[in-house]
Amino acid sequence: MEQRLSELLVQTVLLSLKVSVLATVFNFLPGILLGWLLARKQFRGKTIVDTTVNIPLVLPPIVTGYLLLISLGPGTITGRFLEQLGLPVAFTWRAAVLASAVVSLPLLIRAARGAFEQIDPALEDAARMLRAPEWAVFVQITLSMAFPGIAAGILLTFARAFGEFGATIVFASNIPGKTQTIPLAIFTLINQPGGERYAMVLVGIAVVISYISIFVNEWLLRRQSKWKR
Amino acid sequence: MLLFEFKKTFDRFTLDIAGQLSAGITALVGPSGSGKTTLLNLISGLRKADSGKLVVFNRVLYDSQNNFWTKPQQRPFGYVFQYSRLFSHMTVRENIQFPLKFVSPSANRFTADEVFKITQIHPYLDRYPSQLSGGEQQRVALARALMAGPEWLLLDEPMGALDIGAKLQFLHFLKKLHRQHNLPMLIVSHDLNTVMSFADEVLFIRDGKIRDAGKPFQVMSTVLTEMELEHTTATEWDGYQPNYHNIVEMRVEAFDTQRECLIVSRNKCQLFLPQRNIPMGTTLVLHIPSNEIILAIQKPQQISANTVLKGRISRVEVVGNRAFVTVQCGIELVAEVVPGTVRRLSLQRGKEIYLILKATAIRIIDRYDQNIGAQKT
Repeated sequence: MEQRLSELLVQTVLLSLKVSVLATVFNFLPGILLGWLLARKQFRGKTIVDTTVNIPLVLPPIVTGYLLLISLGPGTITGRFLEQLGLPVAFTWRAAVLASAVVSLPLLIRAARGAFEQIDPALEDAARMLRAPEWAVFVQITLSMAFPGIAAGILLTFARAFGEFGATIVFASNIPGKTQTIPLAIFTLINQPGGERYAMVLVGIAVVISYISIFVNEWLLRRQSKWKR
Repeated sequence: MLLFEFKKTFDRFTLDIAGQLSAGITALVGPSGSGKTTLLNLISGLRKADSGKLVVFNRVLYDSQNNFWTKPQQRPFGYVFQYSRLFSHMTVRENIQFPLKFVSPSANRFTADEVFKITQIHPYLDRYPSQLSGGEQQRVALARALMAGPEWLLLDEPMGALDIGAKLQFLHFLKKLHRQHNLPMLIVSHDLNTVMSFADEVLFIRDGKIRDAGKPFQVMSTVLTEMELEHTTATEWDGYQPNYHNIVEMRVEAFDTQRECLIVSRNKCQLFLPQRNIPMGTTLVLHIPSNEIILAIQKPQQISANTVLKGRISRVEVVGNRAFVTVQCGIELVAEVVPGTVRRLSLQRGKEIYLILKATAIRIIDRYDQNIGAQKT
């Protein structure tokens, strides 16, 4: 019993890391792109886009999870389509990744947006006058200068995905070894007689990982403001 | 030659402007909001005009009738902005090397060595922009613009944030650059005295239109007349008095023990400076304000001023309540008097004249030691 629980503990930690890393990777491109779009472009319906991408931030995570379930769950058209492709989502680790990604995406968008807004567009004009083509202006000036802020956002996204509970339990369920991440395991263990000891180990791991993420996040943000003109 | 014609309408302002620039140094002056920076941005291609045309050295860069527009990257301009716009995440060296990634070596008019020599930035290549003074930052910005191999340099208030010493030093760099490399420049400035002292031509614009164009003294008269007519009180030129900055490079020859002054010379013209410990052979860049020079018809005797130069008047220009007398005395110096003095002393072209300069009125703005580059003074 002891050994089985220890194995489960290791599995839970590894699954949690896998889910939060994949959710962060999943958010990387849309996060930066939407952040840039909202910081730099004026277009019709901007307020609607802005509100929509930020909604998961304030929506109860259970609601987000339920919305994911009724749009991608087993009984739905998209759910059945994904199953036929051999990629069932609901109640698998993929659902945990997706739930964490959706809930944490606004944090990356907001961080990226803030980082891009800090970069003076005049510097991009300066680069153009130095013969830099548009891709180089974006990569070497805009993105490079915004990078510390974006990296801070990536860490925050990771930390949020790592702590995700509500949407995950609804959309991915709480299956030990399959979809049970650290927060779900803690929830289960503290409701089990004698589970507190293991719960405390997971609490310790969660605190350390979250602390490191936020510490590096703060350090990166300080760097970004140092680069500001 | 640069020919331009632009129309651009903003919410409350219309720029409707056409003109041509010769390949010298042209200064663009006008009160705030007159369209100076807009014109520079339209020429550089950073902004698009509603309609118009732009031709540089017989090459069409923009022609709205034929729907033709060249990207800023492909235009032959270098741009030095107000407040340097250096990339703060790169060192000075990386800033300067930035354009090299996009410019083919054959297209580059300047080698890195030449740029370093002109701008004297080698001491701080490994620093970050935030570790430099305003004047140093502008020199780096100039160096960076040159590395992109421009055929025409655009400068937008490049000395706006600099004190008078750094300003004159920067202008001296520009003037040398123009002389040695035949690089035409268009420089926006609201500092009329500076403009007057170093531009070949001045373009005066106001409310999006050209009011006058021509030689500096002539255009300054127009500016002053407009100001007087309107009893200008609100513009940034309020209280403006014309003044000319003479900038000359001279070599340290000897120390005069009797006068306790340093002797500097160029083309047999000798000046006395109060400094003591400057090695012989050093080249000094000197600033002699026009209002510190006294003119005399006869050689003055027994006066306190150490320098008395004999020369010949080459030009007399009256600008508002000032007259500027240009004298050739081995070097060219401009002295400033009131117009009444021109009549009283019958100052005119060809007349022999003496210039009197106090040693303490001459300011060193830069120095170049005999074999090495410039040193900060």
